[in-house]
Amino acid sequence: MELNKVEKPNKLIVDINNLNIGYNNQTILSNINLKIPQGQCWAIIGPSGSGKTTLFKTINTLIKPLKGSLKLIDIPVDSKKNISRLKGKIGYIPQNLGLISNLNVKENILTGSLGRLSIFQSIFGIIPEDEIINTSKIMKQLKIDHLANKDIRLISGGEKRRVAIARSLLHNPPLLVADELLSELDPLTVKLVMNQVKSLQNKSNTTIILIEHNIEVAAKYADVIVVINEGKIISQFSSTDTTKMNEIKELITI
Amino acid sequence: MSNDDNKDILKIVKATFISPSFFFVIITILTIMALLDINFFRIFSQGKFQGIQNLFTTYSLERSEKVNENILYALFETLQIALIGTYFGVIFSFPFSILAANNFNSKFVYIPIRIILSGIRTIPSLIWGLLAVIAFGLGPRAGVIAIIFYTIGYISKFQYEIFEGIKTDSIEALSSIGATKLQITRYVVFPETANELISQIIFMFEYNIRSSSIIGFVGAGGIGYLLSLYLDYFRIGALSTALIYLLIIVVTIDFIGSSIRKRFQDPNFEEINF
Repeated sequence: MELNKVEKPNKLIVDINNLNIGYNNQTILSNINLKIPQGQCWAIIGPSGSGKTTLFKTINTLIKPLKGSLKLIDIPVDSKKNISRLKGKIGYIPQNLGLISNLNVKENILTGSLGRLSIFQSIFGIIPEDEIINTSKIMKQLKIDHLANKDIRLISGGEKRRVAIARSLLHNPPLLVADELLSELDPLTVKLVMNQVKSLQNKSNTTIILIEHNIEVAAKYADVIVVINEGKIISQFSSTDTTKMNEIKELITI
Repeated sequence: MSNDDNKDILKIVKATFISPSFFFVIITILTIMALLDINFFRIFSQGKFQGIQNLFTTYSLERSEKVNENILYALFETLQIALIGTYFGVIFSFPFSILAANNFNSKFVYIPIRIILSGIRTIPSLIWGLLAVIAFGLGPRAGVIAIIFYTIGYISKFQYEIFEGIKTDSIEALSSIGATKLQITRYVVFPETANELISQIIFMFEYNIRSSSIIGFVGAGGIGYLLSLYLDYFRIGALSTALIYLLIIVVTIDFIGSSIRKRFQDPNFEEINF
């Protein structure tokens, strides 16, 4: 594992420098610095309303930062042209998963291929064979292949999350951002979902950023933990750093 | 806690909590009072009842073969007018409804479109029928065109209001995948609002059967033309037969509509009791 890391060039997937983020000139997050190398899993923790989701939407280029520089996958996020170059390179799982009702599991996952389809193909739903093969593969890996034709509203919470993961990984993005993917799940399902995500990550060297409330879960699956409070990064440490961990645990336990 | 503190706390709730049911009760009482003032109940006086009774006793249903044949032919034409009119009206309303939604467009796009749409809705279906008869001549073609315009006005409005209530989650997820606006419309906006769209289409079809029977009065084909003829020649018996046929059709369409709608309900409803 250690050898592997040395061999790979330490390419930064997310490079954030002195970033201020907000809506209508009201700053929500200030002075954010984040440098996330390729292939790692980072977890962001912090209380509700601390600006985690806002940061995520900025990383997903949905919100324009007020100040500072933001570089994703070596592309600076500054112009419309660059933002459109980034489309399709980030897998984003929103807080409520954003699955589409009235499409079944299979169709929901296939929407992940839309970025590569032509107008004609997408309007008439003509999906190329390799996309179908990819979808079947990823469904098998995430163990949701038996649900293919099921109504999206009839599957369980853990299964819904796996469908959302499959959709966002279908286009093989270098970066996956998942907003509260694991909350509302029981520990056993968390383990199942995360193990599958991790095995996919190892195959394709995807960088993952998670928002997580549970520090134990974050420590178990993430390489680095970032703590955000009141719009500022107050701490950033490796998940193996037990002294720091205990410090933060002390801070957030009731 | 002192009394002043309590007052401050009470303010928080009072400032935000206004009961709508209170207004509802007041408006209901005012309406009933207004109705009483114009002698609403005179409608049910003795003399009027006699008239209703006469309607049912003096005339008997006319059920000759010729009448039946005419009615069935005209009803079939009405159904065709409603079906074709609704179909094309709904299809033409898609671009309008997308362009009129304020969350997908700038106000320079949606405000003009909305003005056009309310212009279309201002004109009643009967007048649309009249205009179409003038422009395209007598017959069912004029009826179809009138229904198309009428449907565009209403379905577009229903649709853009639902589009405005759509949640951003799935749009955000798909736009990061690299989906274009067109693809998002096709794969998020339409599937997410399909249930409402389908019930609106069914409602509109039911409604269009009624309006296409009315626009026949101005010569736009269908059962309306037949009804106007029967009225002119005072053949109340045949008119009643036609109305009964119409009733059967409308009830049947209503029944079919509700069973179609049921397929699009949240399937979880089949499993819960409440």
